[in-house]
Amino acid sequence: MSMIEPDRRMGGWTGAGYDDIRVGQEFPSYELRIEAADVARFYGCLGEVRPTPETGSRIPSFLLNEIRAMKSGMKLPPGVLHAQEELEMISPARLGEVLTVAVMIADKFIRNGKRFVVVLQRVASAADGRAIMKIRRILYWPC
Amino acid sequence: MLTQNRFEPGQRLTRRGPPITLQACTDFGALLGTDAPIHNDPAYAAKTQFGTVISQGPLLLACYETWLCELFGDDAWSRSGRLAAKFVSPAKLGEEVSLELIAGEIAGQRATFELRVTCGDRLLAVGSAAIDLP
Repeated sequence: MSMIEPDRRMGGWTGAGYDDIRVGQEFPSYELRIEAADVARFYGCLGEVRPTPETGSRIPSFLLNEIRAMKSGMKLPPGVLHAQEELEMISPARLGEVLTVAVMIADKFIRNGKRFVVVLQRVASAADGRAIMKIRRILYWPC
Repeated sequence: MLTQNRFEPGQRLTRRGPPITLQACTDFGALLGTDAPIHNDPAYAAKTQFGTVISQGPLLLACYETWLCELFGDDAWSRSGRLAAKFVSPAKLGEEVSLELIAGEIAGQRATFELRVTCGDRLLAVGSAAIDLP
């Protein structure tokens, strides 16, 4: 059991604690459907004005860089923050196609008195399994 | 669209980053699941070590995709793009974020860049990007 005090600066200890996280854990495949309104809203977040996206148009990769898939299998405690992010593109995702997201806990470690969890995520086409992107993110885990 | 002949190693490109507004952070969080109250609840955020709402780290990086697509094309990004970054300091509501791309060496058809996200003198994120030249 890790002996570092939990970081409660952003709330009480709820959700999965660091010691409860199992390296190698794989989450059930998560179905991801992106709508045109999602794409429009996403670009709005970036301050970009774009015409309404059409079926078949490319879905922005960063819109697929989501954590709902992980949250569907684990309750995150308050205070989880992105520490590092790595995205590798393989093929474009198109508006209108159903996607799947596979999530795995790849590693966890303590560095400089802080807990971190490494998550691998793969996005693919649900129809034919075509690989779309790979994500490796390191999350600061507060407790 | 940039090709090998259009930029030199060491060349610096800059542009404005995303607006760090409560609406942007709230919408981004709703879309991506990064909707912890630190990103959308001012009353909650005021009581944390940050003192205010902070943006999600990936929101700072997302504009690099648009930028790289503008420079090299959607297809090049979608099939060969790679971006990696470490988040150093969060962007807070109302802060102006700047994005920087610094051209690195080209190996074969693969162009590399260093990327830096800043707010004034404060470094928010640092990383790298790579893409196959069209």
